[in-house]
Amino acid sequence: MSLFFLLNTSIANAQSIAVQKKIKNVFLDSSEVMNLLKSTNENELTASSNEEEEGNTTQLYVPSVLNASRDLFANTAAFHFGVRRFKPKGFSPSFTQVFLNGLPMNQLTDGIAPWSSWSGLNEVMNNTISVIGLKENNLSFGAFGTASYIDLKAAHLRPQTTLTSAFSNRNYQYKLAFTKVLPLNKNGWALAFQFSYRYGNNSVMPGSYYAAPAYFFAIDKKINEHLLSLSLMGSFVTNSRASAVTQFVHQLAQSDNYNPNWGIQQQQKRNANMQTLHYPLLMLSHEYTINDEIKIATTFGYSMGQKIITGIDWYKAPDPRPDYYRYLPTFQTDSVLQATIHQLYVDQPELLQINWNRFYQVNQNSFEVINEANGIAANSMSGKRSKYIVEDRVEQHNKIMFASSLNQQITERCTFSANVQYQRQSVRYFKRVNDLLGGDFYVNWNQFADDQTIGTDALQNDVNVPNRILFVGDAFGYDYSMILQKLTGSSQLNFQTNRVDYFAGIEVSTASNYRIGNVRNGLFPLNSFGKSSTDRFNSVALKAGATYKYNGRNYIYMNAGWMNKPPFINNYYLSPRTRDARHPNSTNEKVVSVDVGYILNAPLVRFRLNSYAAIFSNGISLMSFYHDGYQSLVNYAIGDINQLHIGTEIATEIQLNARWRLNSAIALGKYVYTSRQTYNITIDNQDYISEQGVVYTKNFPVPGTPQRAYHVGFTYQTPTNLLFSITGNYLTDYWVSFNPIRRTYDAMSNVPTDINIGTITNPEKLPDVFVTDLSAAYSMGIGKTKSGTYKSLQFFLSVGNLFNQSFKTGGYEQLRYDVANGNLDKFPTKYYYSQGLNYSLTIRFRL
Amino acid sequence: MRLYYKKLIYAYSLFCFFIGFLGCLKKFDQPETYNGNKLHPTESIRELREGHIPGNTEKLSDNQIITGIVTANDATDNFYKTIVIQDSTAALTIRMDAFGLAADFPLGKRIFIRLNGLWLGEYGGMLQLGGAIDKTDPAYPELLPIPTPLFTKIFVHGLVEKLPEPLLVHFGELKDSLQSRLITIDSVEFAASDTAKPFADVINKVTVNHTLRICNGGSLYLRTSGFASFAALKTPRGNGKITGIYSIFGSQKQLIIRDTFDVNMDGLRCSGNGSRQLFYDDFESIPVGNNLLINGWKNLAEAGGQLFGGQMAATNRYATISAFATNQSSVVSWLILPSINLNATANEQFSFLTKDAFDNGASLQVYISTNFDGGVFPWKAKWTLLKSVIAKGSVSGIASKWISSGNISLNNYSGNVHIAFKYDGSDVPSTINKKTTTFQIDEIKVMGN
Repeated sequence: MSLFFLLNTSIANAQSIAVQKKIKNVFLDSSEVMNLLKSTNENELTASSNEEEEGNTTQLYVPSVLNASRDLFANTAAFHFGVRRFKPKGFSPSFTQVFLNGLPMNQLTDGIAPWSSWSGLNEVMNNTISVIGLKENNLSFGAFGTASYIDLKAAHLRPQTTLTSAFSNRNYQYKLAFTKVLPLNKNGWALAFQFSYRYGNNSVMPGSYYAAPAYFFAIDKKINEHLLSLSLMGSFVTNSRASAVTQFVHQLAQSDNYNPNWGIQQQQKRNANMQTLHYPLLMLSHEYTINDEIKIATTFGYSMGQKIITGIDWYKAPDPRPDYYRYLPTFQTDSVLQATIHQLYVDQPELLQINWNRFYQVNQNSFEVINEANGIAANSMSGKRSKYIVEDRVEQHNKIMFASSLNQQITERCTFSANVQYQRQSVRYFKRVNDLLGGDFYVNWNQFADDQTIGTDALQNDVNVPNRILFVGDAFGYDYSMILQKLTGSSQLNFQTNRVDYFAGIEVSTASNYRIGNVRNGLFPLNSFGKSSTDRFNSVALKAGATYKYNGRNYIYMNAGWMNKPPFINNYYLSPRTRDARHPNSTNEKVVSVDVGYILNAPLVRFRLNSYAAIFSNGISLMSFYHDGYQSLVNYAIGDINQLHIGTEIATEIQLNARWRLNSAIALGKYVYTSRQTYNITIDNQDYISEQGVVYTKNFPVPGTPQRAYHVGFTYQTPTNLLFSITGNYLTDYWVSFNPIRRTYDAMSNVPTDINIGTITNPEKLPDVFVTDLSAAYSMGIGKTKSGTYKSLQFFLSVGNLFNQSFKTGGYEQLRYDVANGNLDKFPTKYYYSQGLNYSLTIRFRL
Repeated sequence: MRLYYKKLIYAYSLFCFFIGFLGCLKKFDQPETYNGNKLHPTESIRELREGHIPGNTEKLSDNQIITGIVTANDATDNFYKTIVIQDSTAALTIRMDAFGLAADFPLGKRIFIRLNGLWLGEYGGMLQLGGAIDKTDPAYPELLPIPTPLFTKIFVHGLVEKLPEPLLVHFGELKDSLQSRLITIDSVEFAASDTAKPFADVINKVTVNHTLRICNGGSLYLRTSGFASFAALKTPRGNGKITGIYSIFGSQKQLIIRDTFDVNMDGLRCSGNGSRQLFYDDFESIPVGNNLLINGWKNLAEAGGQLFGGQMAATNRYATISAFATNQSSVVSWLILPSINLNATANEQFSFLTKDAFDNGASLQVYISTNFDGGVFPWKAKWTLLKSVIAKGSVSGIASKWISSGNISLNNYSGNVHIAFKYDGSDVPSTINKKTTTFQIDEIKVMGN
């Protein structure tokens, strides 16, 4: 993969190193390289994006820096450190921002950019400017991580006719894409469109499925100084999901591709955990170039759509998950039983998969009579009441966006920009019956409340319609909406002197959120239904910096920023599925960040060094899980999260001779929690804080990313425009996300005396990993078009994990913990495993 | 040259789309309704039981197969990690390490069990089938339940069949060979102290044994788990039939019901001989006056100082009350019957007659209390409203007819109870808030059997 990047930089340096002369064929230009690069990466990266519902605090790795086309370090990190979900500087993905035609795309709910909602449209999405870290920026205030500005106006896209196809053994197996961009014609019209389709079924990962049509249309009209653009885009992605498994189950299943989510149904592999998402986005933009000095760009956006994740729900029946801890040999105390069960799983590995036929059998035998059905006194329903169903967990989004920016060149050396952005997002969350699996109906009852309170309304998921009988398509369980708004104003000034460039920026924003309950929950009848009160947060961010230009090749810079930012609703609503209770200390989080660096751009050597420090304070988070001590679902509200991230990134590229190039990158980071965090527990069927205390987390490493990573790569280029690249990547200091319960005073009181307390409290590190990747590319000319440009046929092969190693790519400690006995083997850490050797071959006609 | 490439591209894209859309429609076939599997049982449950040496544990190592119909499971959580199966000869309790067993093993389901590798053992003398033996304490070997992952290997599922008829047994016939059998005992009732009590302690999740007495002599325990979904319901107070799984603990004989549908005890208790009158008063012997005083009754004013009085119309005497002409903003008055003991009877029914006059919104309500001490502060006790029909709507005069309260069941109460009439009215100058309805009460009766 890095090959394209290298190709890219080689082109940048082409003239000085006289490679170009020897190339008879058409070479790949930089934007084409980036296209291919992204299309292959996207495939791999989505493969590692199966977050687990249960308590996985590591966020899914977002390939934002893919677009950092000019940054030596960011490229390497994105393409080679991704196997272990490397996060630059250890920053959470919410510090990365994405703008389409100037519209802020990050979700207001969790701050994460919904990359998959426009995946598969690489040929048009590559028109990107990325601002890494606290750099100066004319487009908006930017982000503390990376801000990517993607321009989708037809008039600004690269004119092309392209047919791309790919074959891979990663998430999808086939891809086909067709792209056409017609530049502005003499009447002032420009047109662009792309269609793509990606598909995979039972690839290397059994039970996997992938189908994703994607589309993009844009039409522009230029009238004098005005450019009007209209675009519509979307990606309709359906894919199977994989779950993390414990090391023991991984060994038992004897496969890196083991996924407990699927099972055989009528000779077909059916996955219970599917995700479908489609968020079509409509944008109307207006660009007004008043004169050479002043430009105003405005965009309205509207997006609506939904994400559906399927899963199995059950009522008064054994847990359907085949890797449930009670079903494993380790659960047995008797050695004979242990051995018998172990052997059984070895002989019949299908027992480690979902048993769909059993669900049908159970449902077909489950005859029941429900009295007062739907809350009507004399109404009774009889029939097969399903004990297992497939449910849809639905998120319906509705989003209005507006952004306007003013750019002014005040003097030749001074630019000023001002921005206004507004987002309003409403999200409805509910569950829906997808498949009754052979039964006649399901009932809207909460089985956790069931055994607590007999003869009351507590078990009703909706007191307004008690004993509701459910058929396919009916909403059930929780049902609520979140209404979020954010208004932001920002301004930035860039100023250049002969030797030094300065900049300073400020951003002010105000956000408000509230919840609307669509059902009245039986456990919380008083604060589950209707509109909650509104929370408002005002926040400010500042940044400033200077670059000392020693000469045209050597630069030294220092940038600093300070911000406070409101917590995300996902972190401060304690249990939005049942009620409107909030986190006790939901106030702004504070971040201070400083970057200092040196850049060398010489003809044969490029070098970049960046040192950074970031301090996060007053963070909060929330975890919901089954607590063994309380024997109930609990909400663990963590507060006072303070973090320190310091480190250095170094990237080097050396042109050894006309054929060989050497690349290296080093990320040295140290990300730690600097405080003891506090926790409050609320139990899901009681409405008060049951317990509070301290989590002993001081000096704990921040999990979910390798803190240190090393990369070295060699590229060889033949005179016939064939490229080979081999890279080695060493990823270390990856810590799995930890369970706070094990770091509390309470947990310590139950630790058996013969156990060293450290085994319970110390965080866990994944073994270091060294991965080798290989890539090759070839491009050949196939004639000229009428307009005289070259047509080409391009091949690109990337092979990841060349030596087919098995290693853990990530993991998390289960939040369920055996409080009574301190037995870590009962609910051990769960891991994700690498796929093994993986490849992708892309063939492209550029006409 | 140019044409060639064009063709190549078209062919190629067609090819790609073809493989791409192949199998794109993902529709899953549903399995047909389960037809049931059949194995040939090689021995009967009785034969299996007879092979057991009392007090011993045995590993079953030959390839024997038994079959039976599920007669009890954990559907109501009264059985815990246990199902009971029965064939025509005998029954057996099977210990299984799972929750929600009723899903796979509903009542009436025929199952076949491959016995190889399983163990027979006892708990309190009760024979059980399990997955292993824990001999940590050799003196008390403990039978371990069958682990869930082995279910598919051990159990073969047949179809749901008709449940076997419970065996009607007399107390004298209860013996160990009937262990785990679904039996019915007739002419049985809960001991007086165990009537109208919750089946088990649902708050503390504690199992409770209630004594069942058989009219012809003999007693056994009804054992109910605090986790049972019906644990909070009250035991019936009458006499009748009870069905359940026969069980023992040491020398104790026990019965475990599957749900309250197993209990049909609303007949006369053993001592009963028809309907009996537990309380009756028609007020015919009271004096006419403003303060009704009857021995054992309480006539008290909580607010407003107005008491129930005695009156006569034609030859009929009755109790009466009204807030009229009291000039009190709140008139709350109590008329409380003497204590009534419900222990020796079942199916008690309470009834009375009322008449209203000049109704403008005052209320008369009837309450029952089990903890009223008979003193002068009834409002400090816990009272439960009894739903009854009370006369109303005679706005411009005295109602012409007595209205019956209807039969109010006291079946959920036992021990000593008090019943009270509570009047709530007010006599203020404003017509809107004036509530001075007059109520007349007569023919108070409690019957039981």
